[in-house]
Amino acid sequence: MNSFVPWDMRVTIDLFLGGMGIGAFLLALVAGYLGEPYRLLKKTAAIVSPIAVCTGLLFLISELGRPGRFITTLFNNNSASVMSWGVYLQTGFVIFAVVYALLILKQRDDEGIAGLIKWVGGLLAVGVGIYHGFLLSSNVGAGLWNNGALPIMIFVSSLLTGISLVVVINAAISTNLASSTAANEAAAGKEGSTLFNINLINAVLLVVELIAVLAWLFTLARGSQIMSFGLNNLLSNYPVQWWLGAVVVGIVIPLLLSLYGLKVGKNEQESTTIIAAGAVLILIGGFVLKNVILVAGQIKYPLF
Amino acid sequence: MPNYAMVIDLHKCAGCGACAITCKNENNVPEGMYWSNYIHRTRGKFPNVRYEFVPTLCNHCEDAPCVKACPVGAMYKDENGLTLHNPDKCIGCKACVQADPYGVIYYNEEKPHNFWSDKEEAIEKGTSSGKEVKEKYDAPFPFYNPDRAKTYAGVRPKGIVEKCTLCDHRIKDGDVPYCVASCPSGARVFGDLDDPKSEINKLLNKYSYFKLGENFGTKPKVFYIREF
Ligand code: SF4
Ligand code: SF4
Repeated sequence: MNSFVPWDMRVTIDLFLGGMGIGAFLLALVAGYLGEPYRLLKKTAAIVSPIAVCTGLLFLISELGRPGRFITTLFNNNSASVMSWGVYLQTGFVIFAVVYALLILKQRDDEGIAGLIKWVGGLLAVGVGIYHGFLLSSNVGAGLWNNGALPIMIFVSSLLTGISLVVVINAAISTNLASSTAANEAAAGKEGSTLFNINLINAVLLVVELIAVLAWLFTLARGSQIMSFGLNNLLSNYPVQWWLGAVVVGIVIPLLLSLYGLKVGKNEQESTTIIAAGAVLILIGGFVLKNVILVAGQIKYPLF
Repeated sequence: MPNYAMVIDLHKCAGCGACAITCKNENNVPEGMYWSNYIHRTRGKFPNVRYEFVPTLCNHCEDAPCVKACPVGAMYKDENGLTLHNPDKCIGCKACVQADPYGVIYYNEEKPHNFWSDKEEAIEKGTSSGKEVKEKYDAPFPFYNPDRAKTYAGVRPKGIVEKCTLCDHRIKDGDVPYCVASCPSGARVFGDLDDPKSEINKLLNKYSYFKLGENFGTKPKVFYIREF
């Protein structure tokens, strides 16, 4: 049996950047409903989104044995192939995301066809987010991937990293602290506004992520031999990356931080620090999670 | 239309590995790749030991996950039930390698048969380099088999995958795959699964059989009879 590992880190980078891109786009849509205080957040998210997805795709194309042939994927399609679905979903998403970003830059995102762009773009974003997980879970021989909890885990991780990316960029670009996301949050908290709260969104998503991780681990532990073989490989060969990197740094600590942040929400300085720290941890943990799952999942189950 | 398959008689197999080597010759398979291969293990402790040897190849699965995974339809099922690969369409995404649970699809990371472009001599000024030897032949490399190019790329280029075709270039002329022809003990039997009178159907009805990785749900078409 051939033990060649087909996909290298460029595929992780695509899953990570692509995931952040769709997460950012969905965040832009949510922020769009909240009016003026969130204009900067929306703008950053909408601009970052297509850039992240396209950069990820460049990495993916460079991973092909024949990068020059990538364009043929648009007309040589295969309706059974998850990767082929991904080609159309991602192409469509990038087009809509670019148009949306342009509309925002021109301050015309509330008129005319903008509504349609947002809806279709949003659906495509969800499609791409789910496709990332399906690409892995469709492989029958890969015990670590071939189950239903994995796509949920990957999708929620994409949402979390997308939000965090925007938060970090926003904090970095706004010289005036008062206009940064985190400070906005704290201000909103002070005024008693419960409309939009990054700590709350993160807390909910992190709980969902934790449940998905537990469901995944449990399914594998009590599943077929192929599944337990995959799980065993992950836990015995990559324990630090998985437990410390993906679970503790990427989920548990940010969850505790966001819960604490909800409690001290009215203290501007503290809340700002908490949101920014959580975002950085989510980004690190999200990358480690996708990478360790991609690397460990590529082991072949012995036939004999 | 026939539905080609293979039966491998594990009692007849002598474990010589001839199939793995002759396949490389017939199909111009590069170094490190084995379209026809084997897995083996030793079980037990002396004096109760048993050596098990199972020849392998692409199972030409009826429900082939490699075909489902390929985004451009380069990996496909032909009308004879074979799983074949079109090198002109392949983009080298390796989705098929990922999807195939049997590990029988190989990826050309480097230029294949590189040895024959190498200018380095094993003993300086004493032996010929690979490149020098190749230049004496009118072929991509000395033992190149031009027959292979009748239905597939004679040598598959860098950046795409390659796999066993069950010697479709031979069976289209009424011959058997080369691993079958070269097995000294007649352990490999090739035939049409849909023909009730075929030799393979005789064997499958006479003996019980198993297939590798049946729990993958891929409906493999290489059958093993007379288990150890
Ligand atoms: S054995 Fe592998 S390569 Fe051959 S048809 Fe089945 S899945 Fe495809
Ligand atoms: S490597 Fe080639 S044959 Fe395999 S899935 Fe990709 S395009 Fe198809």
